[in-house]
Amino acid sequence: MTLRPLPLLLLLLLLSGLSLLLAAAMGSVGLSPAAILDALLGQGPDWPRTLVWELRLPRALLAFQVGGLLALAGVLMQVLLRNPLADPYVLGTSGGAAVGALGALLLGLSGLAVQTLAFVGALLSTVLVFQLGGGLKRWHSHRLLLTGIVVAAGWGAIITFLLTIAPAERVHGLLFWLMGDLNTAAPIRLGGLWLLLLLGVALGLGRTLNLLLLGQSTAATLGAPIGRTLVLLYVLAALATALAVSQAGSIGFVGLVIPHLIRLLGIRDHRFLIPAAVLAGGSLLVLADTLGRTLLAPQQLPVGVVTAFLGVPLFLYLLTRQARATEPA
Amino acid sequence: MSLLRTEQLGIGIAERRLVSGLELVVEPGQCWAILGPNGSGKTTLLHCLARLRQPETGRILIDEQPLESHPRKALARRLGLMPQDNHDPFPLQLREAALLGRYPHLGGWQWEGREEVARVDHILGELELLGLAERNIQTLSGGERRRLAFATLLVQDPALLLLDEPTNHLDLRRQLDVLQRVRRAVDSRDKAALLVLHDINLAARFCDRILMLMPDSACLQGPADELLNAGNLSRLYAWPMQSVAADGGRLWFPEL
Repeated sequence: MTLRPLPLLLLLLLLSGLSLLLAAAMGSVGLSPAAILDALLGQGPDWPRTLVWELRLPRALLAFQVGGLLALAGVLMQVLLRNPLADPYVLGTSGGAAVGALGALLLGLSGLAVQTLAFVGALLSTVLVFQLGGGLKRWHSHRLLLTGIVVAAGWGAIITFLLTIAPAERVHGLLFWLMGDLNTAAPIRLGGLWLLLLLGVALGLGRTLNLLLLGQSTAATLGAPIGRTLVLLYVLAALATALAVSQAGSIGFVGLVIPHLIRLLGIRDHRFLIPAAVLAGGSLLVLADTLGRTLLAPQQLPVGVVTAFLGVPLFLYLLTRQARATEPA
Repeated sequence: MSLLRTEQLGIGIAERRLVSGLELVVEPGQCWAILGPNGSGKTTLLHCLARLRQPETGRILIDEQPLESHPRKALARRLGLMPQDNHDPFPLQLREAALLGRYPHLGGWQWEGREEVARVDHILGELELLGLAERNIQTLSGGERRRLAFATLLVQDPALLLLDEPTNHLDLRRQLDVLQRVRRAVDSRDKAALLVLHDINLAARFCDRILMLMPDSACLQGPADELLNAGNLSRLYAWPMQSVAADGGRLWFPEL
């Protein structure tokens, strides 16, 4: 299945809009399309306006932003490490964030303090991995990857340790954070601007990222500024992951699979791949979160579980389709 | 003015010195073959010349200016490298991959236009790759991938072509085709080429100058007809070599 890039981008833009509308409509109180339109335009009775503007839309926008950030980080990490299995957490980012967040939760902190500590933990972990992995002077993507995996294992042990010593009544909250949770996160103001900013810088790198697909040596002999690009990629990916994970916990799957999903749809040029992945990642997370809070209402499902429920079959379907198309009959 | 000049160039890997005191001058219109046994530093030398690694000692001049003083993109219009092998972890269309060769000729935000695509398709056509233009490069055969790497170098169109074993994986006709195209670019368009080759007869046929990287880290260089003799070649490959007169030249083969 191959789509032209521009129609696909338009399609994804439409999907993004629809997913946000759906998120505004669905919930413990269903709203008709007309009621949502009224609420969005600031007309009609007060309560739907409050519901849409102050509860559902902020949460949907947060989900969209987190999904977009994760998909963006996934694309960048995969090019950076030249490894299709790389995801935003491959350098121990989510482990660092989790230790920061769980530590904060255990100290009885909440809200912005948890987010801040998670953010600090995520960045600390990426800097640590970058340094231990040899830095730019002795750049080697395999060593970096291996360092990230080992550091992540270390964080994993600390997380298990924290869960073991945590008082029983706190454990549920900690587990929810670990599985990815948009519920407790108060949206960072201007969070969406971060996504736009990072997206803009990444788009500027688009053509150089295409070159990197041919390998660092070829990219360098074709005139790409490799050192600067690698550092910029690293910073962008780390920032995007840290922003996502500190607001919503470690939501798996989106960052690994969305980039491949777009590639399977036939988009390989990063100037299209990056915005397409951001839109698709955002939509997926909005839809997953909407389902997560309505399927078993009033029980809420962790959003990470729903992304996997939605994404795994879709991805496997596209993968087997492609396998059949490229194999000789 | 020389295209490439090295002064007292020394290269090595880890503690091992591979080449020392190399004084090489490459002029436009010259085609050089680099011969040497495995591990003698042929690829490392090309990588130093392409600014992919630092030499241990000495310096490299391009257009009589130090290699490091050239901006990356401008340098990519002066010299290009066809690497020894390619590894493609991600899907990419063959035409998209070849188009990447235009990178040094385009501005930062400039999009590849119709003209670039036409130029690429012309080169793909010449190399019999146009029929595969829509193919995913991960599904190409070894020889097809090799010809794509050569096509990308032609698309890049640098003044100095560095080719690391360009005939690897190619069938006989394609080997001759690639070398003929290199030769034609050198002769008619005033370019220069340095080719790492393992086939003495192809080197003798297509190259006018030879650089031999000896096992003892010495370097021999000079016109092909002077340098290619039984003594030098036997020492180079640590195997007795013979030749017969054929087709207006000499054909080399190992004693068995």
